[in-house]
Parts: sequence; C-alpha cells; structure tokens
Amino acid sequence: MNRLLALLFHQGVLDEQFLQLQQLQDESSPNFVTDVVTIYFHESEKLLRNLRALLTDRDFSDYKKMEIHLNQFMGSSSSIGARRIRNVCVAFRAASEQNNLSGCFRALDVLEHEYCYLKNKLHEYFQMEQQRAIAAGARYPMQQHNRTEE
Amino acid sequence: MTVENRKGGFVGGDEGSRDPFPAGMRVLAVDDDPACLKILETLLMRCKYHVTTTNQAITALNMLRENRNKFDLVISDVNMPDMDGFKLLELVGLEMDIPVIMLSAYSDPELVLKGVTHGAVDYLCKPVRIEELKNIWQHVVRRKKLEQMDQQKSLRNVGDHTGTKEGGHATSVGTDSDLNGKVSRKRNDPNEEEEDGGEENGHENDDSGSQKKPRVVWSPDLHQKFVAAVNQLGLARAVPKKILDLMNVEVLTRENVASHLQKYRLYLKRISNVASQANLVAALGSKDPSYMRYGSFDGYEDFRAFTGLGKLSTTSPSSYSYNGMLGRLNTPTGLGFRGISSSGLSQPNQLQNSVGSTDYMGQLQSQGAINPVSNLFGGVPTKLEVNQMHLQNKLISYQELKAEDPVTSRLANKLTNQPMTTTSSSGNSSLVTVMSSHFLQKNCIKPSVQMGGLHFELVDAGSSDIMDQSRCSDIWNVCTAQNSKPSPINIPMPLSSPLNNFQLPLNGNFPLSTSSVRDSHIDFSSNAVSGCNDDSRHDIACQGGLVSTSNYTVQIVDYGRDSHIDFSSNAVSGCNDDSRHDIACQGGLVSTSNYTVQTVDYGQSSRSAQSVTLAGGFVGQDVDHQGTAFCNRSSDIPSDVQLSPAVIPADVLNLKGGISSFDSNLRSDNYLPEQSKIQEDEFFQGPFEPLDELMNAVIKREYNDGVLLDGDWV
Repeated sequence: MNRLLALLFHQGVLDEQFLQLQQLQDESSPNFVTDVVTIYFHESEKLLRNLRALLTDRDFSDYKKMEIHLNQFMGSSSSIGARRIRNVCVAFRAASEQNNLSGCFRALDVLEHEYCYLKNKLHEYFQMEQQRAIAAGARYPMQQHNRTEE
Repeated sequence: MTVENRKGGFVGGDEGSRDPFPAGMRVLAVDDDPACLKILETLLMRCKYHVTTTNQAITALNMLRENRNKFDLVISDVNMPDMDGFKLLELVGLEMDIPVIMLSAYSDPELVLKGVTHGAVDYLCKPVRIEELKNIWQHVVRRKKLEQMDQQKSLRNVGDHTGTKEGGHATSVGTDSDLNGKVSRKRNDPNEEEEDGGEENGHENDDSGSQKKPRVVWSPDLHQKFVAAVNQLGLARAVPKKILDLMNVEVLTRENVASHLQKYRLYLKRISNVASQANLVAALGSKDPSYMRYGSFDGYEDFRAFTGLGKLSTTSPSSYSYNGMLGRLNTPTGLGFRGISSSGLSQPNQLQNSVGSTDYMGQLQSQGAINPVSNLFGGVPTKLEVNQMHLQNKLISYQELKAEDPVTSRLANKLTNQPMTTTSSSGNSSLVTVMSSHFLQKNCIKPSVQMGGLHFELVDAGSSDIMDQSRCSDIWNVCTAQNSKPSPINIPMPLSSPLNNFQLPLNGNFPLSTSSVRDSHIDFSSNAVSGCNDDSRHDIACQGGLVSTSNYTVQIVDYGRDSHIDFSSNAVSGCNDDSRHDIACQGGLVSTSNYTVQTVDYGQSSRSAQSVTLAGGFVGQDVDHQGTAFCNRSSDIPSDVQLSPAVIPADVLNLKGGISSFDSNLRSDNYLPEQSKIQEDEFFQGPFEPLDELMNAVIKREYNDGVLLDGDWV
C-alpha cells in the first residue's frame, strides 16, 4: 500500500471505509474515489463555513440548526472513512446537546484543523496516484518496445 | 421463489438483467448529502441493483407516486432538509406500501425506535457497508410474501382454495393490479377464480399491464377520505362497498377501495406490530435479546409467522414478544383486539412458559377459522400467530366496558367469534388470557396488540355495546377455579363450554378492567383469567402481561405508549400453595402463589385520569420468575369489577404509565385515593428500563412502606 496511505491509517485519520471506497473503484468507475472525495471536500467546506458562521453569530442560540449541519458532516465523513473527523463530530455533537458554546467552539477549531490536514494529505495522495498512473502508462510502451526488440 | 419472481416480472420488465433475483431490484435512494448519495449509489450498483437517486425527499415522493410499480425498495436518509425522513417513510408506507429502509449517521436507540414505529423495515447506520446492502432484498421478498399470505388467508376464509399461490408468487411487488385481482377474487364467485388467476399471471409481466382500469393513485386527500370512511364504519365493518359509498368519489371502484383497504390493514398491523415491539423494547428493555436488535430492527418479524402458516407443530417458546397495547407514537391508534384465549393450556398442570407456546397453538388451531388479519407482533412464535389468525374472525370493535355489565357478557363479547373451547376442567391449569378490551378509538390506525399469545386487534370501538354478543366471542379460556381456595377471585370459567357465551364466574370476583378511551387513544381493558388447580405447575409466560395461575383472573397489562393506550388490566393469578408457578411476565404482571396479580400498566405516556388503576394488593411472595414477577394481591373482588381492593401502596401504583384506571364504575379512588394520576417517570428511567428493576423497586418499596396487605390472602 502506498506509504502515505499507510501513514494515514496508522494515525487513525482514515479507516477501512476508505478501503471499501477503493474497492468500489473499477473499470466502470475508474475515478470513483477521487470523485467522491472531491464532492466530500466541496460539501465539507460549505458545512464548515456554515458552522463557523452560526457559532460566531452573536445571537446564536439555535443549536438544532447547527446539529443539522453537523449531522450531515458526520454522515459524509464516516462514509468517506474519515475517522478522526467523525470522532470530533461526535464530541461536537455532545457539546451541542449540552448547549455548551465554548465546547462547540473548541470542537469546531479541532474540526477545521483535522479537515485541513485530511484534505492536504488526500490531495497529496491523489497526486501520487496520478503520477504513478502516468508513469505506468509511460513504462508500458517501453516494455513492448523492448520485447519487440528482443 | 427466485425463479418465480423472475417469471413474475419482478424485475419489472427490465430486459437488461438476466441475473436471478435479487439482482435487478429497483431501489430508490434518497439522501441530501451528495457524497453519501454517490457512495450509496455505487454500493447498490455493485450489488447489482437498479438504482435511482435523488437528493430531495419531495422528488422521491413524486417519483414514487407517479408510478407505484417503479421501485421495489426505498432507502432514505433520516435527516433531510426538505422533509423529515420519518415523514417520508410514513407516506411511502401508506401510499405505496413499499418497504423503506432508513439511513442515518446516528444510531441512537430513540431514532431507531422511531424508524421502526413509523414502519421502516430496517435501519442502517452510516457508513453503510456493502454486506448490509447485499441483504436488503429480503425486505422486498418478505413484504411480498406477507401480502400473498394475507391473500391466501382471506381467500381461504371465504372458502376459496384458489390458485392464489400461483398468482401470488407471480405478482410483482406491490402491484395494485395484483391486489385488485386477488381481492376481487375473494369477493367474486369461485368460478371466477381461474379467470382471475389467469389475469394475475397476465398482469405479472406488465407493470401497467392488462389492467382493466387505469390505476388509481391514492393521493393524500383521497387517502384521508378513505380513512375517514373507514373510521366511520369501524374497521371491522369496513367493507369496500360501504367505504366507497361513504367516500363518494366517482373515479374509484370497489376494487380500488378493496385493494387499498387491504394495504391499509396491513399497514395498521405493521404499525401496531412495530409499536408493540417498540413498546416492548421501551418498556422492558427487552427481555429477549433477540428483540433488541437495534442495528437492524426488523419490524416484521411477525411475518415469519406467515411462513409458518398452517404448520402448527409445537413451537418452541423461543422468544417472547412483548405484545402489549400498542400505541403508535404519533398517531392515535385504535386497537383492535383479537383476543385469543389460550384454551390450549390443556397440558395438564403445565403451562408452558411462552405464551405463544404450543399449547396455545394447539388449542387455537382447533378453534376455527382465524381472522385473516395477521398478527402484528413480532416475536410471537409463528404458530401462535397462525393460530391466532385462525381464531380471529374479524376485527372487533370494542367499547368501553361498562362496569355494570356482567363480566361474562363482556367477556363473551370480546374478540373473536370463535368459541374457544376451554380446557377441560379437570384440574388442568389453563392459562387464560383473556383480553377483553374495548376502547373507543377516535381515529384510524388500529394496530393489533398481541398479548401473551393472544392477539388482539383493536378495532374501532364504534359505539355499539361491547357486549354485543354476536361480535365477540369469548376469548377467555378460563380455568375454572378448581381450586379449593375460597378466594374471591375465583373465576369459574366454564371450561368446557364454548366460550361464546362466556359466563364469567363470578364469585363475583372478576377483575374487570375497563378502559376508557381518551384522546382517541385506546383504552384497553382486558381481563385475563386463568385459574389453575392447586397442584399444578404453572409456567406462565406472559407477554405484555397477563398471566394467571391458579384460580384467578388475570388481567392484562397495558403497555400503551404515548397516551394512546389506556389500558387497564388486572392480572390476577393465584396459585395454590403447592403449585409452583413460574411466571414470566413481560410488561408486567405476574403472580405467584396465592395472589392475585394485577397487571401493571406501562403506558408510557400520560394517561388521563380515567385510566384504570389497577388496584390490588401487592404481594410479593414466591415471586418466581425471571425477575418480572409482579405480585399483586387483591382481596375482595367486587363482582362487577374490581380486582383490587387491597391497598396498593401509593408508590407501587406509580408505575410508569400506569396503572390503568378502571372505568368510571370502578372507582379507583375507592382503592387508591392517592392515585389519581399516573406517574410516568416513576419507574422508567429510560425507555428500556428492565422490568425486573421495576418490579424490584416496586416490591421493595412496598415492603419499605409496610403496606403489605394484611394477611388477606386471596
């Protein structure tokens, strides 16, 4: 397995759900993982922005609304396999249920941090994969050429 | 089944898939989160299903409405912005009768419960794994099978022994035309059966098929009218013709109404079933681990019964299902009772532990035709359900029991029309579970309640006198008190006579519980009577509460929730000294030796003051059960009702939800002056507080308070 990926697993950033996603990728959906993860990033950024906006609003009192966003974020994170993010969401939800504003703030900070970390790592991973694919493609014709030469 | 399904056009005319079912099953996936939706779609496609996705509930509903046969299964997220997932679930269940699976990031038990009570066939938690999705086709099959069974039963009852089976197998899921065909077959001459069978087969390959009439879409308005008409008539009397007349809609034909009525009944059953399961779970923390399957709660366990239809071999008392009164969470429910007396406890001196046990089965089976309406509660052994169905003739409507009515007549009129033969008196202990329930129901949904092997389907009470003999037959199986005990509660049930005219015994002591309906909920009073002989060993398993052992009337407990059910029950059971009683009650009651047991009402919602309170002394002796014994002792039992006269410690009565209060004639205040209200949270910390703890608490409190009844043993 890719070393970067192994590292992420080891850190608990990703879990086996991510592997399931990889297994779903095949000839019929060759870019499945990148597609899904891209959608995830897109949505997550929206959600995080909303959460931040809600919390920083002076008159914030509607925890339910926040929980809705949180719910979605948690759902998609767990579907992707972003385990650490999901765990932070759980804590966030607990704080929200207790109407603990400062707890929510802290959770949101951690969430944003984790999210950034995951995003960077996954970007890196995808680039590596892409380069590998290109390299494999480049190698292939060489091999053929070599064989015919022999 | 696979092959037949394929032949039956299960794939809905999809030429592409040549794989055997479940491949090609058409799934509609709804989730507002695009990442999850995409993953779900891919997973489903990997399982070889045919997937359609949408991120809006409203779109999904429209898609479903536009062509009911387009999908076999719906998977929906719980939290969606435009519509609550549960609401969608309800609507789909009502209008289209397609199985719906809920999906959520959280697996809180409350949410799962909610899903179940709203009729979801399953509840999955994100992240969804492919293994879980590989099996979801079972819900579709199960639903179809259930419908087939129902059809078969109804046909059988009408004396048809048609090739429903072929027709049934061949039907696509949820097709109106099939139901129409079947229903009309039921109503038409037997001559037409073959014809219809042919038509059925002809229909199967066409979704829009060679139907005679254009399919009617049951819009919410239309459905409302339908429901109103049904309520007006009373579910028992609701026949398509009358409903059609009441609804006064031109486009509808009798067949349309008939098929819709069929589905509606199924829906009600399902609701009550799951609600009862929910009740069970909530109230008891589930005694039976097999029921506590939150992860994938299958609200249709009872459908297993259908597969066992006709086979009445001894059932192993596997798991109890708690069948109590059921109250649908958010809707007023009417409960129809189909009480089945377990006259089967003929095994001499042996009451099997599970209510749904063979004894019942055997007895029930002999009883006669069973009401085709299926049992709702899951967990009841298949056989029992089958039996019950046989027993039950029709939905019965109940009314509030009037106190002055002799118990006998009341009992006699309860429930099924089938006379239940009681066990031969010779000293056999028989567990009588009599459920007489009446209630007034305001609205619609009528789940069935299954109690301890008795399956009750509550029916709209209408206003007729519940004593209507013709409507109910006695479901009581009462063991006559062979006992020598001069307990006032001897209920000399005429064991040998058919229960049709049930003469409740009375040495006056008949515990009657009446419940008044409140708020369009059901008040349910049931009396279960059972008496056993002295030396008998009684293993009584009560589910949903009743039980009785020697010589007492047992009344059942009501486990209504949500203020939908008021259920008063008195369980009385008395056993002789020498008898050993192993009573397992779930949801509450129990009695052991020499006591009258009163059942506890575990309604989880507040009750109105009218609810019956179980009065009774508590006695905790020989509580011999798996922790759920709840002994209650009552001293005198007035003839017309009440069971309890003894003082019940105030706190004892504060069972959550419940002590159902008797109807006005029973003055609970005579007995329990301090108990005008039911305290809800007394015992239940959460929905799953085990009964044991409850009982222990009660008993302990009782002792602490020193309120033990003065040696006034019954």
